[in-house]
This record gives sequence, C-alpha cells and structure tokens, in this order.
Amino acid sequence: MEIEHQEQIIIDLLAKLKNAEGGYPKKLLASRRQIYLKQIANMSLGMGAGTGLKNLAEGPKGGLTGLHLPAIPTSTFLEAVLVVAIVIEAGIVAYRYRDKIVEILTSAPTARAEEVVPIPITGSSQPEAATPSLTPTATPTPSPANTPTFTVTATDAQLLIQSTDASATATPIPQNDNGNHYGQTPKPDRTKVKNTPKPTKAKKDSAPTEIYDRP
Amino acid sequence: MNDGVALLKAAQKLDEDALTAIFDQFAPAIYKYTLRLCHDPIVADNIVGDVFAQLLEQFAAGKGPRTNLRSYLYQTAYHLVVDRSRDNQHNAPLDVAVGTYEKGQIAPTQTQIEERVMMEALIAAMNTELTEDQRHVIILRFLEDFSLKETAEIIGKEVNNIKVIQNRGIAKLRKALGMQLGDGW
Repeated sequence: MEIEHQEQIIIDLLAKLKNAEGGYPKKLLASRRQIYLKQIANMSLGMGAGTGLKNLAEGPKGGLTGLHLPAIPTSTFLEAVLVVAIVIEAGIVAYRYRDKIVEILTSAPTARAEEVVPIPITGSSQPEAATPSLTPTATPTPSPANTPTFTVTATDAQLLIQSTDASATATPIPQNDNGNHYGQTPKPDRTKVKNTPKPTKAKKDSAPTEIYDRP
Repeated sequence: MNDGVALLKAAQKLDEDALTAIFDQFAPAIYKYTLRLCHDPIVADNIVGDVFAQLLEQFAAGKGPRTNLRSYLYQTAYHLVVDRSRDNQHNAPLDVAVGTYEKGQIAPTQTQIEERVMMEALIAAMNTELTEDQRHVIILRFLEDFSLKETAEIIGKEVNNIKVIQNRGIAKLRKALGMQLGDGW
C-alpha cells in the first residue's frame, strides 16, 4: 500500500515535470521552420509537379476548385505535353507548306502495270528481226583447228523477250519404260581381228647376236 | 482524430499547407522530447530538422506513416537520438528539466518547497539510476502521454516488455527517492 502510494506520487511528479518543460527557443524554431519550408519548396519543384498541379486544382486557394485533375506523375505529364506540342507544330508546318506537299505528292512516280516502256531494238529496223536467227558462217569440220563460229544478230534483250514468250515443253514420258534397263545395253562390236598371230617373244639369247651382226 | 487523418492524407499528397501545419503542431513537442534525451538545445534542434526531413523524403517516396503520425515522428526522433548517442560513444544523458523548473520567483510555500525538492531528486534519479530503456519508457509514458502500445511501437519492443521496463523504472525511482529523502517520504 505504501509502495503504491509512493509510486503514484512519482507519477504525479512526472506529470508536473511534463508541464514545467520549457519550449522551443523562438530563434531556433524560426530558422528550423524556414529550412523546412525550403525543403518543401524544393521537393515540390523537383518531384511533385504533377501532384502540385492536382493540389492547386483541388485546394481552396487554387481558383480551380471545380476542376478535378487525376494524379499524374511528372514524367507522364511532361511526356504528354511534349507529344501534344510536337503534333501541333507538325500540323502548323503541314498547313504552311501544304502547296509544296501537294506538288510533291502529285509528281511522285506511280508504278502502273499497264505502261510498259518498249525496249529499243538495236541493229535491225524490222520487227521480224526480233527473232534470233543463228546463221552459221562456217560448217564444222573435223579438223580441230577450225572452231565453229556463230554470229548472233539478236540482242540480249530480244533473246530475253523470246525466251519469256516461248512456252516450255516438257520431256515426253517414255512408253513401256519402267526404268529397268538391265541387259538392254547393246554390246559393242569387237574390233580385234580373229586369227591374228600373236607376236612371238624374242629369245633372250638372240639379242646379243643382233648387236654383233650390225655393221 | 478526423483532422489528424485529413492532415496526414493531405501531407501524403505533398500539400504544402498540410506539411507546414504538421511542423507547427509537432516540432515543439519533438524538440522537448529530444532535449530530454540529449540535453543539448542545438543537438535537439538538429534532430528535429532530421526528423522532418525524413518525413518529407518518405512522403515524396510514397511511403511514410499511414495512421499515427505522432507516434511515427517520436519513433524517428528516438532512433536518431539512439544513433547519435551510439556515434558519440556515450550514453545520451537525460536532462529532464534543464532550466525549466523555475526556482521560485515568488516566495514559495512549504508545500512548493517540498515538491521542488522532490522534483530535483526525481530528476537526479532519472539521470543516474535508470537504464536507457527505462528512461525512454518513462519519458514516453508519463511525459509524452503515449500508450503502452504506442511506446512499444516507438521503441520496438513488445507491450509486455514495456510494462516490465516501466515497473522496474518506477521501482528504481522510488528507491532512489527513498535514499535521498528518507524512507518516510
């Protein structure tokens, strides 16, 4: 009982001690408050531009009380502003130079399938000459010294046209040919003459005698 | 309570008026609390600045207190004081009523004199007899009027642990006052 009473006295003393405390010195408090306000201003400038706009719109001093802006991050807000500015600038430039743009668009070459530029034919004035004709000037002879020479009168372009016009013909399918040609190859004729005597072998002993027989 | 919640929500949106109001409301109390712990007005002022700078950083990062702003500020101050005392390699002395208990400008009565003597003995006992945890708990509980739960949150201990620390601290103070003032005080 005595202990509880003494502890209660201590608690009462502590409560009085609380009320007897001195306050924050005015100069210290004022300077600390100024620093704090600067920190708030720096933070609002650096990080909270979007939020600051929102507060401005929602705050009683803002004058835009009826306007409710969503909470936009600063980076998104700046990005949107930049995109809008770029679009507006592009529109102004397009309007100012609209005549030049129309000229450029109309003068641009358009690819048409119907218009085929005729290829000029060089070397012959007649259209019949378009077909390539191979005129051999020399007939091939068995002598290897005379190589056959050909004169091509058509140009490469004509050949190209000719080759594109010509329809490709497939190789005819052989009849009754299953692909098995075993035993059908004709045997070659024998070139050796029969009953031709074989040359006799020279005797080993006769050779030195021939040497001695020479004059 | 609703005003506190509204103030906190506005501060979370970095509303300048709300942030200024928070400073005006809590800075003097935080200063008193830190002054009790570190007994140096300049250090206490610096800790107040650090507490509110951290608060701004937390709000800017989308963090910070969601419900109990006062408890959060005291918790930050407590940690800063503890860190500072560890850095200085000495215990943060508790100067509970430095220069604040005015010594009788008017002629004190006998009761006032007795009370003053007891008060000075109490301050001396708090500074010399109590452990650091006991001092923190008694200051938060009886000088700052925090509940057991809030004190536990600030110091970072369980509520039951806070109860034990508080009872032991008061018992120590009672014994110290008995030593100084006599058993029958």
